Amino acid sequence: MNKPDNPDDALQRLVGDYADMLFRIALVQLKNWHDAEDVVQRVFIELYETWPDFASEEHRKAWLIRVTIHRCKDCQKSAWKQRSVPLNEDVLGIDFEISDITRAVLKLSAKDRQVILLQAYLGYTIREIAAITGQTPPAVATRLHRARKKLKRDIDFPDL
Amino acid sequence: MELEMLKNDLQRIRLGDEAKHCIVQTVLGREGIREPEKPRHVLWLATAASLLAILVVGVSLLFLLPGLRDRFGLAAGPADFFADRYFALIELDGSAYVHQGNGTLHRLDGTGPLREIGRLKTGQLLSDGQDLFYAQGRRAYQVAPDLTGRTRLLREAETIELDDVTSAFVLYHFGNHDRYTLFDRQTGEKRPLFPDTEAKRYTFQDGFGDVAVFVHAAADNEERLVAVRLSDGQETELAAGPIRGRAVISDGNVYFTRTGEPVDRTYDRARELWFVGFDGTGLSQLDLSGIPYDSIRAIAASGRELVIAADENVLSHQGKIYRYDPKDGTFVLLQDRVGLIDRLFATEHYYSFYDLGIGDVAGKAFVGPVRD
Repeated sequence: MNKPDNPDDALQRLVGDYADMLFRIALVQLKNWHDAEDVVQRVFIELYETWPDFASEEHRKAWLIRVTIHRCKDCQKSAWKQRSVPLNEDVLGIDFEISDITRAVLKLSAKDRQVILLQAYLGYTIREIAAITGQTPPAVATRLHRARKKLKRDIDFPDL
Repeated sequence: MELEMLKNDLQRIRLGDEAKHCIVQTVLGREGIREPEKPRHVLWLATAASLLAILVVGVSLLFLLPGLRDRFGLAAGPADFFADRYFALIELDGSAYVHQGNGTLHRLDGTGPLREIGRLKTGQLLSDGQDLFYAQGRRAYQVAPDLTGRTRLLREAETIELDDVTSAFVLYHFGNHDRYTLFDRQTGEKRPLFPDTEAKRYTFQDGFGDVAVFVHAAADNEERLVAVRLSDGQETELAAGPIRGRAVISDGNVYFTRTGEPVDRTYDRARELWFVGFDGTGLSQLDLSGIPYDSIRAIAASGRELVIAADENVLSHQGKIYRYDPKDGTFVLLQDRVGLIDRLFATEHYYSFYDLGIGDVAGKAFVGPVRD
């Protein structure tokens, strides 16, 4: 997949296809609506400026997720944002009551939230998560195990 | 079942059409400003010829006049803007030190051009007013501003991040704002700043002398702003209630932002600027009605004044950067047409920011004098 003939139309389509998914990833990571939206915007800026050569649509999706995770890390490292955001729906910016499981996931550390989201929500395997996050598969497996253990303390989280 | 509930919750989270449209417009608008469409085939020859001519003249000058090399090095590139984002802005003896995200350290003297002085592989940089301090993994180092004489200050079993350096202490923490610890620079002793039960409840904001300001989040998520004396750990409550953004210290006061009445509930952003004395007295809200703004993107302290990045239009990330004097309420416009401010720092004589937005300086970092 090379740079499209009409990048503007392609961008519009990709925002329509992926913005919600990337936004969910960023929101769960950052727990702040506005910061998550900023991250999604940055990801599409990077995509538009580089148009990497993807072998398939799956590769493009994985690239977008990987860049989103990295931009979330940048955002968390930013001196301006180096503080914990209290957990409530107002800060998240959502207008519905979240379930206990979602609340429990949001209470996990950022790294734990990341692997749980990639496996439970996006259905990636440990090997795929390792490729996306830049960790080794054993490290991902260990983190998943610990994250699920923490979740089971609060709720009945299933083995995947 | 539980898993389905998680998925259902996540599926209900959506960016609105307006937000998606805004993202597309921002990306395209940014590209338009950065790289306007040009008839490439027509310009190609002219560009190549110009570059060749400049190269020949430049190389000739450098070889003919070796003394020009240094000056050429100083003058290379734009005077104020550079392409990478940065992690820190420090002022030492009237010079600004800018640490970029790619690890290079630059110096700016007055209004002169930025000059690269070396590399530091770290994500943060602090100063006690004389030397530079930084952490690399589990270790913290001290080095002279010219990057000579590096000494290791301390080593821990886990990765650390530095928060503040005073003449007496180095304040650092582990993990995600966990176990804030004081390193005594005279004796080399380390001690936790807070008791174990409270070790994860504080988030460092800013420090000045023997005082550090933190946000404390209680078990019920109730937040309060506190000042902690490093020498004896005495804590003073400065303000109760949620603190949105970052608190900074200026002229014996702590300035911080609060959400206030949001323009749109999906944008939980700061609209109010408050200040309070170190002793917790004089809590007041400042009047920012002198400028048009939807929200306060970032604040930084510059001497007795503040540098404020204000969003005028949250949806399109358009705003301005001002210098604000809290004493008389006056604003001085520092930078017009900025967009998505990623980082904002200020010292007594300089300020710097990185803009990811759509304005004239989009995608660039800036450092320059904060006053004429």
